Amino acid sequence: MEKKESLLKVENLNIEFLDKKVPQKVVTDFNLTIGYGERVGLVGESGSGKSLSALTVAGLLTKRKDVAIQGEIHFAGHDDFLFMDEKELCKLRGTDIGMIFQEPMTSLNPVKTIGWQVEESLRIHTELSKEERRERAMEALRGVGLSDTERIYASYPHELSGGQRQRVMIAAAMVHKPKLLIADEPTTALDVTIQAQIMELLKEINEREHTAILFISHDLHLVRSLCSQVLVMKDGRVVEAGSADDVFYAPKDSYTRKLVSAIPKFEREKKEVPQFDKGSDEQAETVLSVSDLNVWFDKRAGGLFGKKETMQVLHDVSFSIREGEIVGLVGESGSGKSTIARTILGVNQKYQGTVIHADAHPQMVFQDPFSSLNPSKTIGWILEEPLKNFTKDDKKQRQEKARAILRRVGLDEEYLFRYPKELSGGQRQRVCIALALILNPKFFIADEAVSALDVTIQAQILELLKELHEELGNAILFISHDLRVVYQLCDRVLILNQGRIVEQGTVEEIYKNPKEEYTKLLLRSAKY
Amino acid sequence: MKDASKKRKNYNFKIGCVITVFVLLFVLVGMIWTPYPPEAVDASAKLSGSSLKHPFGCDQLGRDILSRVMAGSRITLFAAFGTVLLGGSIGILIGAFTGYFGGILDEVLMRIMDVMFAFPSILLSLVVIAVLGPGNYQTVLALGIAFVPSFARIVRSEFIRCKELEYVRLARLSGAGNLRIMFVHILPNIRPVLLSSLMIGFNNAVLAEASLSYLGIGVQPPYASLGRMLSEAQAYIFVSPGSCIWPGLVLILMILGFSLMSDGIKTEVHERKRWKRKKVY
Amino acid sequence: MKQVIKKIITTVLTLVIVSFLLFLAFELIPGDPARAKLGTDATPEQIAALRAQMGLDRPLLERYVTWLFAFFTGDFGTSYSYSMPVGEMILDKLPITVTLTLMAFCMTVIISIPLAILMAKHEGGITDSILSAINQVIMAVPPFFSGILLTLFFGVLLKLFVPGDFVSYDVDMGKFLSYLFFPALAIALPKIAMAVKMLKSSLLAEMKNDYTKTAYSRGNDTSGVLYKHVLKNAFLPVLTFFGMALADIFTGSIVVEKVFNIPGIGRILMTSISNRDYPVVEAIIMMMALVVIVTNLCVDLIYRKMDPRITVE
Repeated sequence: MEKKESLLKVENLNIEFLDKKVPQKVVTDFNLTIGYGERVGLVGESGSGKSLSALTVAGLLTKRKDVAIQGEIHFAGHDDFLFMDEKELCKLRGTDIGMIFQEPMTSLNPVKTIGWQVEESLRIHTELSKEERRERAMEALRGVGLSDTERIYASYPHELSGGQRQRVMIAAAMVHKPKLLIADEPTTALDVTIQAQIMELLKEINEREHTAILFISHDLHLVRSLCSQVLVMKDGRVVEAGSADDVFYAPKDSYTRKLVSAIPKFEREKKEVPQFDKGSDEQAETVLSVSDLNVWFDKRAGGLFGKKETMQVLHDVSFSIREGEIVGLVGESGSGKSTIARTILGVNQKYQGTVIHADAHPQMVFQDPFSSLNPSKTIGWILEEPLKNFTKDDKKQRQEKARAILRRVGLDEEYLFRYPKELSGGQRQRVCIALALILNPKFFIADEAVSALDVTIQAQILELLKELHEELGNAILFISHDLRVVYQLCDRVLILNQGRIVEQGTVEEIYKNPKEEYTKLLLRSAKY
Repeated sequence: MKDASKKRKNYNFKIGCVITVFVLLFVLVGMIWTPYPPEAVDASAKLSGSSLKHPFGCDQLGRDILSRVMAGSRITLFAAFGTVLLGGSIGILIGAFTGYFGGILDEVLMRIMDVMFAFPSILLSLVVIAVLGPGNYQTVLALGIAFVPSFARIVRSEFIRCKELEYVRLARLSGAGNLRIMFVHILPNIRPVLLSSLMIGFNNAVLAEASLSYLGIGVQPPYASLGRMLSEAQAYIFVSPGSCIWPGLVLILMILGFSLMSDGIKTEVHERKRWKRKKVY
Repeated sequence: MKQVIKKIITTVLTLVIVSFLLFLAFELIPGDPARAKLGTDATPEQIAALRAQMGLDRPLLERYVTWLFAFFTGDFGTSYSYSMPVGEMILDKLPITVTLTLMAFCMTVIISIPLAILMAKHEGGITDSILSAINQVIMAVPPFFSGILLTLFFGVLLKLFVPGDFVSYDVDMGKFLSYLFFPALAIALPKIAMAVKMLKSSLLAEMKNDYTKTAYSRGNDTSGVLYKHVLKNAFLPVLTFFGMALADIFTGSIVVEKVFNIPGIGRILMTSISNRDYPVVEAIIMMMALVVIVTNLCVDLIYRKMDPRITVE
């Protein structure tokens, strides 16, 4: 009778990969209980084994021959869930267990219509007629807050927006009214405002359909807003489990504490604007000024003979950055953030307006530390490249400078002779920062420089940026979608929406007292 | 499962290396020493099978087949090498410039390349040979031209992929000029793809040269080429099957070696790409 | 629809460019065809008269346009060596080569697709390993050598057919078709091997995509995922290959026709090249180009139909 109470019970789950020379244990002694209609969160950084555990719970890992799984899973009256044969498992998947994934674009089949995909589990598991299936699919689409369901039913995944696609994924998972919905990082690829909507939707579905949700995320903050119970995983082990508030406010494990403290919060340690030329703002030198910037893109339809269409991506963008200032530029994808960066750097030559900067060769730190370093060159070679091209330093001077800057970003000089692939993400991002600083600029751009990093690494890099800033006093244009990170680091903030700066001011001003609707929406979503 | 296939493909590369080294040794020895001069006639041994004196037997004129295969594979190898050198260098240049700069030049050149690419290389080289007349240099020239588009397309798509990568943008910020970015920053990174496509190109060149010579419009006598030997020996297939089999076997080994190696390289690249994608969060 | 029309216009344009380049190539051949035809002891007057008769004295562009129009109305010019219309020479040989091509192409498609699916399904197993190894070797065999081997094995050893005993289609259709079986197989073998390899790796790559995870999570078993989701996606890149293979087989038949002693288009082409009979060469190559370009158009249109993403771009 105890079984009735819990929908899912995982006991002592162990997962090993067998395809390496030495079997590699990826999940150790994993325990999890989910009651009917409960919302449980599973938190961990990349490589913590959280997704693997979830896949096992969905019965998707057992068919892989290179994986050894031990343990026990009880699911809705099936005590031998883990060792059920494939046929039986198929009957459960899509009926009692639904699953949604991180990347809604790649998780939907690109050559099938939305309707076909939403109906699929009905087609497999039920004897419903075509009309009935369609009716159910329509209902499911409406149930995830989509209007215009007729059009969406007939369209293909690429014709929808990211948020719509994730809603479709949810509709497809919910069409058979499963008892358990597993959501594997469902909002990571989405903008903050869309993320908030999806979270709201999940909550609503849980309350309406009484579907239990296993929510997997790297974002402890997000998990807390949705789930009552939270499990924290590190290196394949559950290090802490308990109610969401307990884990968040009174973490017992040292790793959880680290994780919680790494989350950028809406409270600032840094209360005041930096010391440089404080009080005499007018005298401070302007290192970058952008005025009335307008940028158009040519959108050419259909190759050689297509008509040229122009699309305005930036509308009258004006701002300036003074010496030693960190300015945040916040916007969602497609808002024109990157275009501003490209224009300042001189990569984009087609613009109207004026861009004046103090440095002859503005530098930038890119988002993805894995593609921003040339894989076929050593770190030393990469660091010397700007010196080779811009200065008359001889080899010895160049090497000396590279060594010095590397030490400054916290890396040993032995890294000079390593290749990028030998470095971790955080180390690579340090190299990128070193590269931006090697010419000793007054100002550089950081474009989503910490967005691709795990939250603990992200905290380290932010710390490094703060330190370097205090030490060297360069101005930074910090581009990000993450309001919390911006709040932590920046002095001033610009809010960008659809190519227009809708609001700008000091961080305190904007965050405490937003004037524009869009800013309010962003802040509300980010506090989710 | 994943592991098994990976292992097998690495195996592929090793087997390919062994075969290629074997064939190259065979050719190298043939350059210095052959059992008999390739054109020497032993009238008593016409169409004879394998024997101690003539391990591969003799052809219809009594020429030693082993010696002729050695000489012939050298010609085939050289012709293929010349073809890849010519087609590859022009193809890489065109691909690099069109891929990197894009624009009208790219549109026009690639339209032409697309049309050429759609044409089987044999057909293209037939046109060139029909115009220039048959001959050894003409063959290499004809095949070289016919092979430009395939290299150009591969290099172009790699350049298009790479030029949007962040390290290239970073290189631009580091002050590298266009030529420096193209040849110092990007080119080393497409080396594996390039190498593997050069090997496939080499194979296709061996095949195409053999086909042309078989048709009698490739390498001209007195040079022995594998294709020509096959076409001569085919008339005597009932009497002496060996004279057909040996040249063909060497041809197959030559192609097999390189195709296995190119496969191995491709797998390696693929694995590395997957590894990278997995790592990025 | 608009894009289809656009595609057709591009194809016609391509055709014009290709035909012009081809025409130009044959114009660049050193030597005067009129002199070549009349021999060295012809008087300048005779040559001039013949030049006027052959239309060689008119400007290049005009001659090109007349040639192109003549080509599409079925007038392919007159052979130098046989002094007979090229059209007549080609026409009754065309069915032989076309049959050979279609047979080989059908073999390629029919054999390669199920084989690739089988191998992908049992990836890493013994069947797959053995078939992959055989596949690798077959890919390395040039079609004319596979032709020789087939002759040797099925003709000389097993005596299933008599090499060289070709019967034309207007004499005995059955014998004609059965004789073409082994030549078609010889051309098809390397193509099958290549298609299998491509489709298999495409299938395996698609199997690793995220949407297969989704498909499994909705209750599909492996076959369901493979047939309902992966196959169509995996087939897209192979479609282009099949298009190119058709063109390749058509031109590749030249070589195999020689191996099996089949009097098709290939034989005329080879004789004409060695005789420097340019009108014939020009006509045959133009015809092959036409086939290649039209095949490409078809592939493109089918692709458009299969991949919904294309129409938007």
